[in-house]
Amino acid sequence: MSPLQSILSSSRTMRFEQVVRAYANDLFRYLYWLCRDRALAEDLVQETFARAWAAWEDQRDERAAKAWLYTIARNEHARTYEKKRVDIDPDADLDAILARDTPDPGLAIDLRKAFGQLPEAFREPLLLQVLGGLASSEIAAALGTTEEAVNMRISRARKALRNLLEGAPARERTRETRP
Amino acid sequence: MNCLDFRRGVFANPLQLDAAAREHALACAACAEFLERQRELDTKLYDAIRIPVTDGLADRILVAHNLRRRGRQWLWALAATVVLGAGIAGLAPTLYGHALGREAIAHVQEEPQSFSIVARHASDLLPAALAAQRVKVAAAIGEVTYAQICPMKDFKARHLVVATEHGPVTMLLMPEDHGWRRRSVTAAHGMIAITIPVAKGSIAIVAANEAQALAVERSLVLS
Repeated sequence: MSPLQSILSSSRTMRFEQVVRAYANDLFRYLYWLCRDRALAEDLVQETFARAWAAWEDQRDERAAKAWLYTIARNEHARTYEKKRVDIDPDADLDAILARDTPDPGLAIDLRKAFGQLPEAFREPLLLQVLGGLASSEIAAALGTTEEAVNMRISRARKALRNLLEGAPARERTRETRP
Repeated sequence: MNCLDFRRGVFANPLQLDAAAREHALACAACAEFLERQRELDTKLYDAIRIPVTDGLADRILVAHNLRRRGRQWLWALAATVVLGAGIAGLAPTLYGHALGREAIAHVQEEPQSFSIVARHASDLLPAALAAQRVKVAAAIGEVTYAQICPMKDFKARHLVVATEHGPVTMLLMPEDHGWRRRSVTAAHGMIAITIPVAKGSIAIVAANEAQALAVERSLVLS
C-alpha cells in the first residue's frame, strides 16, 4: 500500500469510526423497539455497521449517512424475521425503563405501553422521527412509501398516543413503579 | 391557516412548522397551547423510548470489525506524536472548535423546553445580540421564540431558538469565549453544531441537520 493509499484508508476508517460513535446507541434503541430483545438488537447493530462498512463511501455527508444507516438497520431486522420467528414479550423491557434515571418513571411506562399499543405501521415512522430525527422524506425512503403517507401515519400515531394517555385514568406513577 | 390545518401540521411534526403555522401559533392561544402540549409529550416520549445502552457498544462494533487496530500500536503512537508535534498549531483550533460544538449540542439537549416555549421577543433582539459580537445579519433568519442567558462550561451564552423557514435552530452567542478555535462542524446525538469564531467570542449554530445550520450561517456577515 502506498503512503497516499494508507492516508486515504486511515481517513476512511476515522470517518467511519466517528459515524459509529455518533449513531450506534440510537440505532441500537431503534432496533430494540423493533425486536424488543436487547441481545438481538445489539447483533443487528453489529450487522448494520458490517454492511455499512462494506459499502462505505467517503463522500457521504453526515445527514445522508444517518438515513442510510437506519435503512440498513431496518433491512437487517426484516432479514432476521425472514430467517426465524422472533417472539415478542411486550413487557420484557419494563426493567430497562425502570432502570433509567427518568424524572417520572411512571409516565415513561405509560408512554411505553401506549407506544407499544400503536399499530406497527404508525409506530415505526414515529420512532424514526422522534428517536432518529429523520425528516419525512427520509422516513418515506426508508419505509418505501410516500412522504404524504408518512405524515399521515405519524399524525395518526401522535393522535392515538395522546388519546391513549389522556384517556388513561390518572394514577400515582412514581409510587407504583418503585417498590 | 385555520386551527384544523395547524393541528394536523403539529401532529405530523411539532418541531418543523412552516411560517404560516408559526404565525398561527402566535395569533391563536388555544393552538399555541396545543403545540406546547404536543412538544412536551414528544419530549417525554423521547425520554421514554431512549432505553439505556450497555457501555462500550461503539467500541465493541469497532473491535468486531477490526477497525480499532490493536497491533502496531507503537507505529500509531509514533505517527500521532509526529502529527501532534508538526501540526498542533493547525489542528488545535479545530479540536477546540469540536469541543465547543459538542458542549453546545449537550446544552441544547439538556434544555428541551427551549423548543416547547414559544414567546414573542423584540424583533431586533437577534440582530442586536449579533452586533455586540460585530456580526451583521445579511438576510432575515427568523423570529426568536426562546431567549435565555445560560451558563456554559467556562462562560455564559445567550441561548436563542430561532424559528427559521427550515425549522427551529438554536444559536448560542458566546461573546466571552476567548478560546483558540477554528470554524468546525460537529455531529453528535443526531444533531449538528457549526461553531464559528467571530470578532468578539464565538457563535454556535445547533440544528437537526447541516442544511438548517448552514442556512443560518450563510445569513451572517462576519467583520
